[in-house]
Order: sequence, then structure tokens, then C-alpha cells
Amino acid sequence: MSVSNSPSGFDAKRYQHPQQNWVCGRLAEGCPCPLGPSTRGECLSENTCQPRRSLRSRRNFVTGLVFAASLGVCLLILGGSSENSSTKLFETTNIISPGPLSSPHSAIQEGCKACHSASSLSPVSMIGEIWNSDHAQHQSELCLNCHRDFGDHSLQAHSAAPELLELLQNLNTLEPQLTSDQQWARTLTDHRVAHAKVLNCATCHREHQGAQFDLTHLTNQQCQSCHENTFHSLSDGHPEFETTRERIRFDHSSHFEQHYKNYHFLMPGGIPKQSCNDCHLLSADGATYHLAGFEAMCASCHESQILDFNMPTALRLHQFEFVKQTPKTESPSTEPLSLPPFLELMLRADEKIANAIEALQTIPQTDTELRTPLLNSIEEATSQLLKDLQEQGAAGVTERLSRVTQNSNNDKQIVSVVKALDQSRFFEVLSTNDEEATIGSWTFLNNRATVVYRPQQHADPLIKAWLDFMASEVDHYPDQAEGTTPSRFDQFFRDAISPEASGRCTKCHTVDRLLDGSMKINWGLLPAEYFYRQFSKFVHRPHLTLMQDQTALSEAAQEDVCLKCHQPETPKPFFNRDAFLLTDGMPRAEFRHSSSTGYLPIQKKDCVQCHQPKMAGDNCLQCHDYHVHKNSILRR
Amino acid sequence: MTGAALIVRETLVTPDFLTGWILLAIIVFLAAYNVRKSLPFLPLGTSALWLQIHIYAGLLSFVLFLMHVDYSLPHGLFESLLATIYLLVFGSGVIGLYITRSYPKRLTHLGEEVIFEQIPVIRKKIQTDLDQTILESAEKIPGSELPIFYRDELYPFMMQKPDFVSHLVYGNSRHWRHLLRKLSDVKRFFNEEELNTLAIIEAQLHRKHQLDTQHVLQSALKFWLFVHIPATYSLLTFIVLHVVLVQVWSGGAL
Amino acid sequence: MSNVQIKRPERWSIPFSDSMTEEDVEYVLQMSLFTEGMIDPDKFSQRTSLAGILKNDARLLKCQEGEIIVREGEWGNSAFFLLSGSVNVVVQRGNKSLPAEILGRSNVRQKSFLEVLKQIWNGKRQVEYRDLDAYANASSSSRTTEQGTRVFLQDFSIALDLDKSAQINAVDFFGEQSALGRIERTATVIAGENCELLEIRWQGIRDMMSKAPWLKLQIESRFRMYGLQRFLQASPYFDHLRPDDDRSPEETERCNALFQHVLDDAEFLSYGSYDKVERFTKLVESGTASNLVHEPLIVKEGDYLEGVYLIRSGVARVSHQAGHGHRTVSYLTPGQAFGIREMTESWKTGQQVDMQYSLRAVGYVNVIFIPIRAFELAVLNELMQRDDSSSTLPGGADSKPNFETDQIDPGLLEFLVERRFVNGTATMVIDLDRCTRCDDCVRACASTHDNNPRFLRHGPIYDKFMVANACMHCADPVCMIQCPTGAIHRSMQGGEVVINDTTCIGCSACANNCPYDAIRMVDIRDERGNYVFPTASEQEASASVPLTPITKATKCDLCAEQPTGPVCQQACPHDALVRLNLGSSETAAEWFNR
Repeated sequence: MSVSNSPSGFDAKRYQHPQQNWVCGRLAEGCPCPLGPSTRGECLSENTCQPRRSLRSRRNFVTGLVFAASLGVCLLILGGSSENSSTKLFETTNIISPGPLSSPHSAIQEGCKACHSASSLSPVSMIGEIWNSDHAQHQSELCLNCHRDFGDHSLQAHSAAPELLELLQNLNTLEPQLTSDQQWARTLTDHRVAHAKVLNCATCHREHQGAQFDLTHLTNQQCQSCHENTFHSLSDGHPEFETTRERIRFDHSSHFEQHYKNYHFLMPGGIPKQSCNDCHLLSADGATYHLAGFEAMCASCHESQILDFNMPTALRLHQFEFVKQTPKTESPSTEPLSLPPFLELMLRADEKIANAIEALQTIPQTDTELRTPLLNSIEEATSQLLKDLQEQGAAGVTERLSRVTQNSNNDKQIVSVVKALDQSRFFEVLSTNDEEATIGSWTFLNNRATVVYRPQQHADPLIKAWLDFMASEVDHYPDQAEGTTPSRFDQFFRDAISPEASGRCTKCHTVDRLLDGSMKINWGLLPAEYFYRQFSKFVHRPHLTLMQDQTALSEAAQEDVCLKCHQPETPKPFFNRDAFLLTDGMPRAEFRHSSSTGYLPIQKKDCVQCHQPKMAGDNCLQCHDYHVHKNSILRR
Repeated sequence: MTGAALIVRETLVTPDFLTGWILLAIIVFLAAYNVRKSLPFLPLGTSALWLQIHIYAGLLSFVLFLMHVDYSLPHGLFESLLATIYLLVFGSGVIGLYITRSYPKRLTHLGEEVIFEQIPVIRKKIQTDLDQTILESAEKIPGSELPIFYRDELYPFMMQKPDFVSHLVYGNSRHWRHLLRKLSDVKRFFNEEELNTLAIIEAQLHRKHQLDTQHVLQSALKFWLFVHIPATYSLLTFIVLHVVLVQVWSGGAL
Repeated sequence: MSNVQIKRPERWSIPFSDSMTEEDVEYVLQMSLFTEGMIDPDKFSQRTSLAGILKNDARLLKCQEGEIIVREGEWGNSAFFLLSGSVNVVVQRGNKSLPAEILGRSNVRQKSFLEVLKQIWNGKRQVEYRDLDAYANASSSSRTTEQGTRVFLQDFSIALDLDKSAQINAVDFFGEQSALGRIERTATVIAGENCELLEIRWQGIRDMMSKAPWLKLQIESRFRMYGLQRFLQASPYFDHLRPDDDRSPEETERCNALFQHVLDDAEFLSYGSYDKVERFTKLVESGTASNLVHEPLIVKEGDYLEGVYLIRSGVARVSHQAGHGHRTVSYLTPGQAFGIREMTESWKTGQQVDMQYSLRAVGYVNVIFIPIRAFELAVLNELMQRDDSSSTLPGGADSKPNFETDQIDPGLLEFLVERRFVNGTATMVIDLDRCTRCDDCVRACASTHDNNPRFLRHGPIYDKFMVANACMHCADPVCMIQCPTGAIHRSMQGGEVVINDTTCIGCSACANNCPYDAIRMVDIRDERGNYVFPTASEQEASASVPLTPITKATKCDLCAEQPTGPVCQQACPHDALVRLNLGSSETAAEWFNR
């Protein structure tokens, strides 16, 4: 029978009290008294026992004990984690550390406080820090104590100025191509560059993952998580590579097709180039190619072009005889005034003369009555100028040029002009009594009535200083359509940069307009202000190695290696090339895919052949840098 | 979970923060069960419903825990301690689940139903009954070996505490098997009257054995919580410290 | 199994009251009730003489003005003959009746949220602590007599001020419906002036009815006028005959006529006996409870169909012959009917159908018997189509035409019925295969009752089900008989049986009466845990009695004050514990078979 009643021995008449904290001490013997202990654990019977704690009460006790012990351990750990010694019993930083540091950081001797701002807080402040929205930034600034080379905007996106990024955003014409995953990710996390005031280092760099962990590794999607417009991968959606307008005009196709073949007709002394490597030299680190320099590459043909003979120049003093008290020939007053720029500038330092010069522009040629006194005054002034310069020397030039360019802050340029003048023995020229035909690069012409400066070699300092000076003084790029009158400096500048000007600098050196409106003549190849290049990098050598492996190693084959990626454009007639137009320094949309050097821009498809996930890899960081700033360019 | 994987892949956000907060919320809810049990008079939902949710949430918390530690053992000392305590709570919970589902069935058909706190009382009663039987037999059956047998084998058996390990691990009792052997051994020395008495004694001994089994099983049912609950409070404390450390020491990681 | 021997219980082994002396009997027999032919002593037999009845089944009560004689809602087993004086019957019922406190009851109201929250600190309370000051404030309007304590109204004028208060003058009787019908007292009766009452327990009334036609006529006509009509009107089988405003006057008249027909033909039958509880508990312990000879047979399997039996009070067992014994198939509780299926089948087929099952009285059962013709006319003809085999009677939860649908395991059914657990509307059943013995239920009960659990997690077990020792809030609560102060009562709000701790005097009548040991007497304590003893004067009065602390009756109150309902059920983490209403075996079967 499966029915059972209460067992013998069990008192079914009394309630059981499992919720009580104390039980009769005689329960263990099997005869508890019915009174039971009081709630405070006192035996209520005359035959006293020692009440014991009930099971539940003992469990509560154990719980309380464990909780107190845990709390104690936590407080110990918290106290020991900071550098503040008043609450520290022993060092617990090695306890709270979540893992070993990467090997570069493991060598830091300072301990946690080198990188963690919390480490120097007291435990109480540490808890308060949770609500401090700046605490992460303090920690990032600790990183920057060692990593100093991130410029002024280290904690901004890309370590670049926000205005720069905004500008880039405006230039961006990419069509947004969010993948569905990216769309989901954006709904779950809102993360825009524009909203981020400070991007902490820890956002991307996670330490404490072991000695071998690469702190700089990020996936493509993580890079794109900030960008407004995204794409799927290098092969799918990444924009085509843009070309930039080269700084030095050099048309490869015309040179290789025509000039190197016919050089002995035009440039008998020239040394033609046979292959890419004759001019393009691989740098020591194998990353970039640099050019061999004017002397090695171009001088054999083009040096002679620089040495001009009576090419128009600014650096000309045409009434030099005044200094020498040489009788002058009467210049008919009906002739238009033609002052060399250099002379004119210095004459304009005197306001009266400046007005006279201005007036002469407006008075008709025929009106000699008005013109003559002005011309005379200018002549006199010229004579006086030369005498003054003789006496004052460099200071005089400096003073006059400064006066004329009062509105702009161009001391630096003036100084370099004056310095170049000095080095070119200009002041000797002024004060000489000798009858030499040349002093330095200054040549006397017209029976010593004119002294002209002629550059003797490439990179003539005076011509360069003068061009730079003019460039910096240009206010704005004259917009013919609006019909604004160009300033005098505009005219000087345009004269100076015409392809026939003395030195023929701008035959090869291009001119850009900068963000602030000033002009810049590109003497060098690397564009310091051309920020696009800062975000990308390319190392040649591994690619050469790979390509050389794949082709036979012959001379011709070597050349083929370059041409595998750098493909020549269809040649266009020389002077019709668009890129020769004066540009504003920005990559014009229309120039984006055509080059000034005769080579097509690198096609993305050539890169994608190898740079795929399972092959050479298509991680963003292989070609792009995150941290860009002025100094990063020095890494190359 | 797909969301978390998505976030890992597509963004700079580490899912550890997300999984961490969710894990914290779940653990607080799990711990709240203990609080709810001490407030049965508030209309918060039945305890059975809470237990169901507690179990599912506990299993979910394990999944989240694995995600939170990235499916690997933590490296830091404190984090290892935290993980260990969590696993202790979870493990004891799983064991508790097994125990509470399987032991009641074993208890139901184990002789008489006893209340745990009354076990000493009943044990004493059985002891008294046995003593009485032995005394009566000593009077009625002169020269009987029963009292000696009682002194040598039965009394130690009655006094022994139940052997927990044997009961829990093997499902039977060493002491009882030993005693059965002794009982069968000794039967050849008894006459009929003694054997009748022995039958009565065996029934009483069997009751004691069943009581022992009850004791062991009910103890297990009560004592697993001595691990689960204190460890929970310990876990909560360490979690608070963990949150403080992560929030202040991570330096803005998302 | 050896035979158990008990002394054969005699009719008058236990008299109703020891205080009834021969002189009292003589005195009563002088009353006009017995001398003017209404109840003729000569009609009684030798064995059960009127004097014998009066001596053993009755007692004499002398009540003062304002004394409460019976309370509305009480359970009673006695009727009262008013011999002299007058009594007031409070006609207004329910909420409009006398305030509960006057009747010794407490107004059970749910605790407010703050009071519920205060229970958090119950764990600090001393077990069975009572606020002794609160007792001092309670009105002690009781007096101790030989017959025990009698309570009287402090302010009698309240009763008189009510709008409807009827007076009963001598010679008359009241209270017989509750006594015979095993139902609650329908009204509160208060002594209007000093009066003499003869209280007769129901056995005496029954015997007197059989020998005094006048009494039988009176009782039966009263029953028909009030009791039967009320009962039938409440039955779902006669729903369609209830007055309805939508009906046309002819239709209404026809319905009324049909109903009257049923009323006239219905018979009121009672079976079994209900006395002290030891009888059936002893049977259970000896294992002979399942021997159905103890249970009076109402209907025998195989008998001709004669009519339908509606259970009015008590529990009846439905059984089927199986082998040489009987297998319990189901049980019926008040409101349910027996014989419906046979009736409908017979009506449809037009052929004689025999009874498929037997019906037995478990304890004491009142049955309303409706003959075939009346039922056919009033119910079957009205509600069913004779040739449509699919149409069935619109029975509600109370109709049980098909007993085989009950799914309860037969052994379990026997277990429940023979121990009379089926009486319970909130029987605590614990599924031992799920119960982890964590005692959360006991703890929860303690937390809602000032740190005192009100049940014991222990009780009879069948297979894996334990019926724990908690008040079952029986449909037929015998504990409520004989409470002198009305402390134990059924709450008006939810129907739970609760004890008003303040008015309980610790007489333990309820505890002794309860067959399930659900009521426990506890020694109350103060906040230090000391026992509380009666004051000096009372000690002197009972100098011969040893010093005993004050006790109070306690039991489960189904958490009537808690907003959540019974917390034991709420607190069980494994869904092992349930308060089952065994009145409906389908609901019970659902739980047992889950």
C-alpha cells in the first residue's frame, strides 16, 4: 500500500518553524523542548540548553561572511591600484592588470601611471572619475607624452585639423555605398567624425593583449566605421586612384619619342636617357623613387636654356649710366614708360614717384606736356635711387622694398631677395668703377647703360628669390571675367612666370595657388602643402621584387617592370596639354585622370590583381595612414 | 548575438562593453530572485515563474559570459578571479538544477516522509525502539547472542553518521551494505525466535537506513545553496569593482 | 489483516449536553409544546422515548436579553425550540446585517500596501507573539455558564434599530433547516428578552419528526417554502424556468407552473450520519474505510431509474461494481446531479434504463430527489430534442452526466474520498516528485502571519501526492459547529474559514472537531517568549484545574488579508504545491494528471 501516515516519533501536533534563526540545543539529541529559543537565541526553559543557529541562519551568516570578505578584497585591490600611498596596503597593480603588455610598452619602467591617468588618483577620486567625461582624454594625453609626433591635433580624427577634414569632406564626390551590415552597425552605434570632439587613443589601440599583439591593426570595416561614405572593399567600391598634377613639367612621351632621338639636332651636348632608372633612383629604404636631380637628368640639355641672352627679366637697371654720370641719350618723351619691375618697385617706395608712375599710365602718349615733367622726375628719382643704393646698400633695398610692401608681412622674402642680391654682387655693381663687362652674373649692356642680371645656372638664387617674392605678393588670381584690375604685383608676377622670362624657370616649374590665395612656385617635387599624399603611402621595393621575379631580368625587362604599373598616356601635342595651365593647386576634376608627365595614373585594377584578401591583402592600413600631420611626411 | 558580432566586425566598438552591461543586468536580475523569495507577500509574480526565468536567464548569462571573455581564459589575476567566481556560481546553479530535478523523485519513495529538522528526533525514536526490542529479546530469550551482536554491529551502525560520498556518488551506502552482510552472516547462529526478533530489528534498521538516505539527499538539497548564494554576493561585489576599474582605466575605449 | 474491534457505538453514548438533568426533562415535558398535542410523547417508542431524546439530544438554555443565540453564516447542527420569551431574528442579510465585530467575527479586509511592506520585519517577531494590549481593548461581553460561554450584545438596541428585524415568540422553533440540511445559519438570532430555549441536536429532531407528524409537516412545509425553492432556483437545471422579463405573460405562467410542479413533487432525503470525527478517522487507520458498508446506499447500481438526485449538502460517492467489490468512479459535491445520463437516454429512446452506478453517502448527505415525470416535463421536454442525438443538456460545471471522463487515478480517488479530502475547497496538495523540501512555503506562510506558519508540511501520502496538514476550507466545515463566541466563521468577502484571534477563548471545540487536525491550539507568548497566564481571579475560579497558559486556536486562513492570495502556492519555486478545490473533480484531475 503506498499510503503512509506520519511516522512514529514525529509530533504532528506542533507547527514546525524553519524560518526561525535559533533552534533548541537539544534537537541534536532528538528531544527538543517545545518552548524553543527566543528570537535572540536565549533558552526559555528552566532546563537550559545552548540554542544553536538554524540552517537558514547559518547560511545567512556564511553569506554575510563571504560578502564581507569579498568587499574587503575589493577594497584592498582598489586601494592598492593607485599610486596614492595613504590607502595602499600593498601593490595590486599586477592583480588588476588584464594581461601582458605588448613588447614595446613592456619596457616602460614607470608602471601603470605612465599610461593610465587613473593610476595617480586616490581610490575615492577613482570612483568619482566614472562620471567625469574628460577622464578618457587625460589618459590619451598620457600616451602623447611619449608619442609626440602627432602634431597639434593629435586627438582629432586622423590627427588632422578639423577644418582640413571638413574640406576633404566637401571635395568628396564618392557615392555612399553602405553595405547592409554597415547600415545595421550604424543604427546600433552612432559614430561620426563630425560628432567626435576627442578620439581617444584607446578607441583603436587596445593594449594588454599580450607581447606579440599588433597595436596598430584594424580591419577595413573598423576604418570605415567613421566615414560617411563607405564601400565594400578595395576591388568593390574603392574609388579610382587620382593623379596629381606634377610639380615639374616633364613630358615623358615627347622626350622619349622625339627629343631623345633627335637630341643631336637641338641639343648637341645633351645626354639622352635610355631607361626609367637613368632618372628615377630608388631610395635607400626602397620605398620611393627620387629623381636624380637637375644636374644629372636635365642639365645636359636644359642648362643652356637657363643661360639666356637678353630674355626679359625683372632684374634690370636700364639707366644705369646715371650712376656713372655717363651722358644719356635723350629718350623721347613719347615713348611709353617701361621700367623694369625691380627698379619700379624701388622707385615706388617714394610716394610721389609712385603717383607719377601711376599717372603716366593714364596720360596718353601724345600728351608730352604732361608726361615730360613726370618722366623727368622719374629719371631723377632713378638717378637718386641708384646713388642712395650705392650708399645705403642692402639696407636701402630692404627699406624700400619693405615700404612698398607695407600691407603684407613679407619680411622673410625681402630678406632673401636682399641676401641674394648681395651674394650676386649687386652692390658691387652699383659702386664699381671698373670697366668689366660682367660682375658676377650682372652684365653690362648698351655701353654700360644697362646692367642686366643673367642667371648662370640652374636654381639661381636671385631669380628664385625674386620669383618667390613676387609670388607672395600676389593678392589674388586675376579673374578676367570679372574685369577686376590686377594689381601691379599681379603684372610683375605674370611677367616673371612667363615661359620666356629670364631663367625660364616656369618652363618646367609649375605654379600653384594656395588655400590662402597666395601663389607658390613649385621648386621642389614633394608638395609640402599637398595634403592628399599624406594619407597614402607606397613602398616600391617589394613590388619590384615580386615583378622582377615574374619577368626575365634583362635591361629591357627592367624597364618593363616600371611600365607594368606606370602606363604611358597617348601622347598629346606639347603645348596643348591642359596641365600646363596655371592651376589653383587643387586637383581639378578635369585633371584627375590625366597626367602632366605623360603617364597614366596608376589604375586600381592593377593593384587589385594582387591585393585581395587571400593574396597580398587589402587592408586599408597597407596603403593608408591614419595619423597624418605635417611631420609625418618626414618619415619617408 | 548577431548584433554583437556585427558590431565587432563593422565598428570600433568593442562588444565587451555591451555584453558586459547586459551580463550585469542579467546577473542583478538573477540575484534578485533571492530578494523576491524573502518578499512572498508582494505581488511580484509566483516563485515558480521567477525560477523558470532564473534558469533561462542563467543559461543565457553563460552564453553572454563566453562572449564577454571572447571564448578564452582571461589573463589578468583579478579578471581570472572574477571569471572563477562566476563559473562557481553558474556551476553550482547547474548542479543545483540537476539536484532539484532528480532528488525529489528519489525522496518520495524512500519510506516515510521526514522533515529535515526532525531527523534527529526520529533517529532517536528508532534508536529507542531498537533498544527496547533488544532489551525485550534479552529478557525473553536467555543466552541470546543478539545483545552482543547489537553491541558489536548494530549500535555502531545506529550511531554512525550517514556516509555522504557513498550515497551521492554511488547511490547506495557502504555502511548499509556492510550491515546487510553482517546480518546475513549472523543468521546462522540464531534460532527461530531470535530470527523473528531479528526480522523486527531489520525493519527498524531499514528505517534508519532510509532515514540516512533522506538525510543525505535533503542535505544536498539544502547545502548546494551554501555555495550558490554566498558566491553570488561575492560575484556582485567583484563585478562592481570590475565596472569601476573598466570605466576608469580603459581610457575611452568604446 | 486481523479484525479490528471497537465498541459498538450506541445512539446515546455521547449525550448532547451533560447539563440536562431528569428534572430539566420533567420541566420541559410540562411545556405546551408537548402537552397540547403538537408533539405527543406517547407516540414515541420505548427505545427512543421522548424523554430519552430530551435527556440525551437536547439541553435547556436560559438566555438573557441581548444574548446571541445563532449567527448568520455559522454552521450549526442543532435546532431551537423557544419555550418562553421572545427572540429577534435579524432579517437583513449579508453586508446590511449586523456588523461583524458584534458577532465576534473580524471584518476580513485586505492589507494596504504599507501594511504588506511592514511584513518584511516579521522575522524578528517572537513565535506566537500576541499584542496583549489589543486583547484588553476587546469587548468582553461574555459570561460563563454551565453550558459554556455565551456571548451577548453590548448594545442590544443596535439589533432593534435595524429596519427589518422579526420577532419570534414562544412557542416556536427555528434553526432546523441548518441542522437538518447541513447548511449555514441563514440569519442571526438574538434573545429579545429573558427566554428559555430547548436546543436539540439534529438527531433528536429527526427522531421527533418521524414520530410527530405535526413537526414533520411544519418542517417540511418550511423547507419547501424556503429551502427547496432557493436550492432549485440556484440549480443550473432549472435556469430556464427562472423569471425572465423578456417572456410573455403566458410563457411566464407556464414556466411557473412547471416549476411548482417540480417543487411539489420533489422529495427531501437525508442519508448517513454525522457525529464525532473519530469514527471515520479510525476507519481510515484501520484500513476499512474503503469498505463501503459504512456508507449508506442512496441508489444501487442496477436499480430502476426512478428520478434524478440532486446533492444538496455533503459528499456522495459514485461507484461501479468491480469484481467482488466496488470501484469508486467519481464523487459528487453539493449542486451536482446523479442519474442525468440514464434519464436522458431513457427519455430519448423511450425505453427503461437501469442505473449504471451506485450512489453512496460519504458521511452525511442531503439529497433532493426529483421523480422522472417531473424532470421530464420541466427540463427534458423544454430543453432537448428527442430525435436529435447530439443535443445535450446545457449543464454547467455542476452537471456530471458522464462520470467516465474523470481522469483521476482510481487509487488516488479512493484515497481522497475515504479520507473525506474531497470536502475541501482549498486542499493543500504537494507533488512530492517536485518538492525539494525547501520549506519556502512554510517560510512564506510564516512571513505573512507574524512569523507563525499556519500549516504543517506533513500529511497522508498517496503515490507522490501528499495532502498536507493545512485547513482545507471545507465546503462543509464541521469546525464551525459549537464555537461559543463565533470566533471561527466564514468570511463574507472570500468565503475562507477564518478565526478571529481576539474573540477566540481557546475552548478548542473547533480543533477537536476538525477531522484533519488542521486547527492547532497554541500557547500564546509575549515579546520575550514567555507564556501568558490568566489573571488571578480566573485562577481562583478554576482552582481545581491546573495552571495552563492561555491558548488560541490557529489555522490557515488562505491569506485572506494578503493581496496575493495564498502565499504558500506563490512561494513554491517548483510548482509543487497547490490549493486545490476538490469540489470539482475535473479541475482536480487536471492538476493530478499534469
